[in-house]
Amino acid sequence: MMVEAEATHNQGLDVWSERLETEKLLWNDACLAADIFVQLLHNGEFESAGLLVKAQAGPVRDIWLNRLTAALPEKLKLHTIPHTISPDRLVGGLDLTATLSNGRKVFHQGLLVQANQQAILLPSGDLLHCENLRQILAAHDNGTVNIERDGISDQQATRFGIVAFDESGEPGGDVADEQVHPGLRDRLTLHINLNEISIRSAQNLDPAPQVGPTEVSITTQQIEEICTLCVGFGLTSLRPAMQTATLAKQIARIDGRTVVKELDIQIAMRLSLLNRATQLPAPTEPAEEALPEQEQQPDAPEQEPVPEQSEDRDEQSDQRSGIPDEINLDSLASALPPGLLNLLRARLNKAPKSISAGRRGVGSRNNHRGRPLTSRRGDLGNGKRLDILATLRAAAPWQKLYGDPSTSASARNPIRVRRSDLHIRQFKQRSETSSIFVVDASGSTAINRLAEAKGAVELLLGASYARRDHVALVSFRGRQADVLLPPTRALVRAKRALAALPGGGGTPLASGLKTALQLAEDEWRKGRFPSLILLTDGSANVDANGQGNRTQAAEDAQNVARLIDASGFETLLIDVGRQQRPQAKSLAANMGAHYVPMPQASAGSISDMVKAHRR
Amino acid sequence: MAATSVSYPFAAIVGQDSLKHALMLSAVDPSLGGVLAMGDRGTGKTTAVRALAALLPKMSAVTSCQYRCNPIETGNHCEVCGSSDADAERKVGKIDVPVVNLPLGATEDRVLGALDIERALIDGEKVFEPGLLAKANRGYLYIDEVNLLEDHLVDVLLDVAASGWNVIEREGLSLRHPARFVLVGSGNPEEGELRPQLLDRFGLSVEVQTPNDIAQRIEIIKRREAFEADPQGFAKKWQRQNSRLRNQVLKARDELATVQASDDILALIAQICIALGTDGLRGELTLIKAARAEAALKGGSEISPQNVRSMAAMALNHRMRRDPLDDAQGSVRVERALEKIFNDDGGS
Repeated sequence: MMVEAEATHNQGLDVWSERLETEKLLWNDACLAADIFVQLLHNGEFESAGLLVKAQAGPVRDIWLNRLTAALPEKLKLHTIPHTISPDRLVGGLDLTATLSNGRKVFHQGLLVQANQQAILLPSGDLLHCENLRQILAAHDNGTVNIERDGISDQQATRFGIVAFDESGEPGGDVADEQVHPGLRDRLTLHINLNEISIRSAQNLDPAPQVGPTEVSITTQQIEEICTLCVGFGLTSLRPAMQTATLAKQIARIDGRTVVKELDIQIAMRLSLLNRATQLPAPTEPAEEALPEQEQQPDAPEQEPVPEQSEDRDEQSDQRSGIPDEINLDSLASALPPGLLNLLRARLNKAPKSISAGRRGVGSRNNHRGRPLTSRRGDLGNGKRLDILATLRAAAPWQKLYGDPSTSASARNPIRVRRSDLHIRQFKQRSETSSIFVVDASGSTAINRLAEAKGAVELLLGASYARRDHVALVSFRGRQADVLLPPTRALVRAKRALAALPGGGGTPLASGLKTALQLAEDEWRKGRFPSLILLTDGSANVDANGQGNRTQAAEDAQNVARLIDASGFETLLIDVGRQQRPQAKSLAANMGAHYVPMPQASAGSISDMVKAHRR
Repeated sequence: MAATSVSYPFAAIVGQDSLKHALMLSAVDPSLGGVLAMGDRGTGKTTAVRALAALLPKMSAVTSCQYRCNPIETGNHCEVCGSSDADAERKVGKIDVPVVNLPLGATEDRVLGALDIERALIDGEKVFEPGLLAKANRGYLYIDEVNLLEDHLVDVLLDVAASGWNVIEREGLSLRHPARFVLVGSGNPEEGELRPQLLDRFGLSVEVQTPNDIAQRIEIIKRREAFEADPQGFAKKWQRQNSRLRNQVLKARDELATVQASDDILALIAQICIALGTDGLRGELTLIKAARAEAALKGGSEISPQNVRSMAAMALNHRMRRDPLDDAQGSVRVERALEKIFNDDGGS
């Protein structure tokens, strides 16, 4: 007994010290990344000076940021760009006050140009409006800001580094969680994660020595190794590989060498690749399987564990021909302490199966909100915004007719504008819709009409494509509801998810409705119009807590139904019961939904019904 | 990628054969209708377009003209160059082929051109301030993330690209100016697709993918490193290959008009379009033009079935009715249909 207890105790200590070791390593890396970032800025390598920090707001992040800003020399400022910044502040635009008082166009510089030869900080990189983010990325890529709006045609050179904080949770956690735009993730060189570090590990460390831009050589074999590593981590874009090479050189420089060594690549890999990996490189069972083949299916990264025993690995890599991965897999293993590896594996396991595809919807988020359209003539009021330039353009040809500017009233005001000249800015309205399909896949439906319901949804998906809708798929059976497909336009995925939907089990109607409602609210926040299409027979027998209790289940379902009614989302309930029963009807009434019994005939007529009900 | 005054040499681009081929064909025959390149992030779409412009020789133009009219050819002159008294003061010189980038957030007034507000207010003159379409005349208009551009703007752009004229009737202005340019659009399909109506109006479309071959990836990185370390030296190293490509394009331009298309070829093209169910005649016309440009580029005197075959995917894969639930890419479906037609004909 005693021995056993002691063993458990020791084990606990082991876990504890391993955890501490890991945290220490992560913090070292985070500090090194900050130092390298500053050095890259200092040496004028702005294209490589990109740093994505996964971190919630908190003391660790503050300590880290203080360290970074303290290391920045006087002339290198970090310009904060809030996610709510307006496009004209970002890239520059017309200075309204000056334009009006001078009677000619006066420009003001945007933040991106002000940050020339310096750096920008995106405090919530995950929340940044897509249009704004694209402007930032385009400026970073091209080294210029191109403005073609408000009557301005201008090109200004700007080179800047980027620090972005990513406050989102881990992928696969909450559906609503926004992820950093893949374009940003792809372009930033350094990737660190402060979320796994506790305050006690965030010690003050000596900064790495400042080094000049000396020439460092890297061998073809090392580039080869980096390329293989990237593919192994599921990073198919070419940028990460180039960034890792640049980083390895910089690390060699810090160590005072002119030749890249194995260790440099290991550190570069930890700083650049590990935190954005979508899979772990693993030479497993099918030894013939070459890496390029894995890469062709980036949608379904195999998350095989890294073999623990090095003998195994050696044997297997010997069998593989053509790809020199013995070196880098060994180096990978030695570069990754077990604690870090476990963390990474846990993170990857939580990720949705199709990681790259799953972000699709997020990538396009918000890109339709507030997109400027051509301005129209109109009156001010109701918070409408005046398009000064269009208004002036409209007024300009009439200045002579409007009167002599030398008369007293207009002496101070050289331009005369009449009401009919006013132009109002227009923005694209919320017009995108997303259809959220909620399919009851419980036993009762499965026996009766699940196949028919699937057929109907499939037809509706086709209709959604024609209308450029986003679609999402929620199903409920057994004890709970699942989001089979977060809102996306990739209909092929919707079709696959639907085909794979099994039937049977209890009917947790309340959970199904609740999940759908949450999804709808998320969509609303993203600027889309959600509508719910519910296919069920309305007879619940599992309550909101996953317990089998028919009375409670029905009550819970009706409660959620009332919430849906209160939300005001457009809702349609298709009764898929064999006979029409009162439960479904009363559920529809509580939800404020249109009630439609699924016709016995064909799936085609359901789709017609939905269309008719929509317009 | 680094901003340097020297652009990456076209000949040094690794892989991306279909994109490079499509761009060269558009240089041989600018009337092909532009190139659409959709594909993954970081595959060098932008690099290729910039490189192409640097590849093309300087062209002669009326340098005093804001539309850079061609001093020799007379049909497409702007109002000034077209009028009879223009000859007196015009200056002629050699200029680079313009490549105009349509940036994100560009507004309609800057794209089409509008009343020059300052001149109007200060001098009381009605003067047209040319937009990007005027700047792009006789060159390239490049739109990155074309799939995110406002539909209305894309519509206008394609209209102008097809007619070659930008017609302004607004703000008291009434004028037209030549706007003949090759439209090159690129984008990432994951972030939204282009409407089918717009897709159809691009001449050629290519699907760009990250190279899967490790060796190719290594080569890309090595060349990029070499270029960034010494842009001038790198460009010099590739000068010979670049000028070989340039001469190929120039020669093909001269011979384009003489390339014959036999009735058999026209029949084959019709057969392919019918088999693929492409809507309208645009597909057939583009395929004929593309095959002719390819024949010229390869030095042939008439279009061969092989030319048709190699161009079919680029000219047609974006014109097929899309089945939203079929995940096969357009090019795969074209390939399937071609396989069938060419095998049935016994490879004729």
